[in-house]
Amino acid sequence: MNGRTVKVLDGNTFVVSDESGDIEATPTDPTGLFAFDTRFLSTWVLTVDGTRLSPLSVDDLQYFETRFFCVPGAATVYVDAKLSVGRHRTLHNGFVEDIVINNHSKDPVDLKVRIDAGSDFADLFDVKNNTPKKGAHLAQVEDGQLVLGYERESFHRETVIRADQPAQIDEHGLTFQVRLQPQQRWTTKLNVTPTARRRGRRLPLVFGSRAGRTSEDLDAELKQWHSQAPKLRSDWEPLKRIYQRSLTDLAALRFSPEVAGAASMPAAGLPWFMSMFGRDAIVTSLQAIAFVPELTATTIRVLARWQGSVIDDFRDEDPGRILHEMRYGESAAFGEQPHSPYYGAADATPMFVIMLDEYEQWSGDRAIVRQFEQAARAALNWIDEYADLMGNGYISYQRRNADTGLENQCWKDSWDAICYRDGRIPGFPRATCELQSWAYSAKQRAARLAREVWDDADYADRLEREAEDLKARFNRDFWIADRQYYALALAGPDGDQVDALSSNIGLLLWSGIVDEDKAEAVAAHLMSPEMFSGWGVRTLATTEASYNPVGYHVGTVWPFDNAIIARGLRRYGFHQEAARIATGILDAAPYFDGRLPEAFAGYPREETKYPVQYPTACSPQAWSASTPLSLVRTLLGLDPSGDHLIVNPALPEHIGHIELLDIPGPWGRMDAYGRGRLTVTAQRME
Amino acid sequence: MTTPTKTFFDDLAQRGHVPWLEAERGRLRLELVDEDCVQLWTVAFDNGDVRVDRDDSDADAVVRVDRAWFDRAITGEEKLMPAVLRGEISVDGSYGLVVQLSRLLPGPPGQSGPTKARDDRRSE
Repeated sequence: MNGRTVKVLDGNTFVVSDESGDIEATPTDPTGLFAFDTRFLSTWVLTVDGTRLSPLSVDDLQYFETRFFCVPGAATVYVDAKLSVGRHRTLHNGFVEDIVINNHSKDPVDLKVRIDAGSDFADLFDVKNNTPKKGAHLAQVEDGQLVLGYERESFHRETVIRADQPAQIDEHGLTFQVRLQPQQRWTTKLNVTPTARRRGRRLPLVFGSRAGRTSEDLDAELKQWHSQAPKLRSDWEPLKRIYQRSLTDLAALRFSPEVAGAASMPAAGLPWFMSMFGRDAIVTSLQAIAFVPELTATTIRVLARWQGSVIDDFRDEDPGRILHEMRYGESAAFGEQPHSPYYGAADATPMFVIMLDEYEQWSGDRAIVRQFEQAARAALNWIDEYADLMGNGYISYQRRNADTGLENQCWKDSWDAICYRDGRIPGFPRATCELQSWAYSAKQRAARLAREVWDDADYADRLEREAEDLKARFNRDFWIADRQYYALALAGPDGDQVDALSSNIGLLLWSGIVDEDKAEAVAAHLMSPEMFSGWGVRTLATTEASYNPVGYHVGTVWPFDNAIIARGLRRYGFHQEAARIATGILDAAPYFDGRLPEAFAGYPREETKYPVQYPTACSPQAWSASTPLSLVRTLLGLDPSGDHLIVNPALPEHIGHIELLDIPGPWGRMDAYGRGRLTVTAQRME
Repeated sequence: MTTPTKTFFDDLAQRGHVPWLEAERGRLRLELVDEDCVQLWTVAFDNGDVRVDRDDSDADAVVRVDRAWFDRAITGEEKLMPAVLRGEISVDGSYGLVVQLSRLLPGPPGQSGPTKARDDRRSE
């Protein structure tokens, strides 16, 4: 689809249309009504007397509702505005669309109002990969409703469309004969409901707790969400807008998977990742923990409930492993894709333990730490028993599902992301450096939980010893002495150093696995022109053979990656450097209407002046939406310490001051203040 | 008469306490449908303690599926979630408990599992 698209979403249901509200999807573009990874409408076109509409304006009222103002006829200089058409679309058990037609003329009019409707029932993976359908499409008129359907064996998906005004319904849409007196208006309400059949029963496809919620409910919920989050004040105007945008986008991306009950966790991103992803959910929850801690609690519960229990090669599942991705479409149902769920992530499992500890520190909730003690122990056991594929004491990965599994099971999961300086791709298994950092942190944090909550001092001692040993070995085996940075990975059966200079070395600082005497060299690399673009740290340095400023994981700048790097730099006392990265990333946000995309190009800032969005980046994306929250936390230096909140600001001068009021934690609610005293040398935008 | 299903539930009842179920509470009723009859099994989850009975009292989750499907599931040939997505299984009530039932089922037979590269070389 050319031109701007308009999106409304709620959890894993979303509609992407053009600016007049119409949908005319091609097999490969992600427009339409999607729910549970399936497209339920690929055609939705409104005409008046056979004429298409032209948009006058679009009001994105909330993430779950949009109002389109249109007139019939092509958009020309002169618009014949004797008629106007309003479409108000709200997500509610699928979507509800109110159509309003006004007759502005002095004469009565007879109109034929038509909605063309159709669905290809594409699985989101069909859209991504352009694969043909294997089942049969149906369309029938049933009890005054249009039912579009798709059947493959016992797999049935149906879109039920009904109107509250009399209509002639055929297999391709609904037609209304409308007579309007002068200055009169006509309205109808259309309901579009995605459904599935389970053992013959037709059920709306909405997660239980979200069924039946009206736009008033959603509106009240959004207000409450904002009112419970800390209030931010700053001299730097854009920050306030970025902050509100982040909170709203996180609200929009919340969804309640079937095992979460009424609680919600973050889905990963629109349009390709509106589902449960272990890594994305953990990172997002952790970045937002000082602001909306309840996301973390749900993420812990949901991921623990799905923790791996058996060995399953197709799903890359092992006992104790935390899932990578869950999907609900046809390809998962028939085992053409392994996402039911798929476990091919090597970092989500140690990060799960990190999250449990971090949540306890930010909430004081020891009950949850006791409740999920076994899940944490199983995760730690996975690190030692199932993840050490090289037998050298490091987490590594090698997929067992060679057809549809992921080659790279770290956050940089595209096939060419892990490479040598000269561009060669290493063999397997691969132990990327940040995986060891997560393992180190998981063991250290679990040792604290074992000592203070689980009442198991022996286990605590053992974990501490293992963490210390891991740190010592890591600094010996991963450090490239003549280049003064850590290898991106050890790879192949012999565990050779993969020597590319990558942003992964920045992720090491947060856990504390970096030896004090190596930290300065790491920080210097991160801030060098080869790595720091002026907006942020590139995924891969410009000096490396595979560097590509628009390569997904080999040159682009990822906001969330930078947020973790900035946290780590502060941990090691590089306050200036952390502020420089935080400022660079925050400076980019206003160019995207306050909404940081998944990634932007690695071009030097002075060359393009504005950040270039990665071509197919997801937006909103959960871990980008939570990035500004994490950066504010880093700038203010917020850390929990028992019943106290530590505030240790390191702000750039131009930000002036930041106040963050009512920060939730074991202390109840506390305020933090910071004043800009650092001079940051990155180019400022005009 | 001992059937594979009965053996599965007898084994489950014998396990008594399953540590990784310590966060779960509730009753799940499994309705196994065979042409003309329905066989009921109820699993009670109580903070890690697991009990099995055959009564049809109130349950927090009710799962209905063909007995033939369940016979394959207890040998690891079927996974629960894809079957739910295919519409072969109906679920009423708490999905959380249904997922726990699926985690009690065995994995698929004949898996290679993770292998250690150095162990392989040592054995050469």
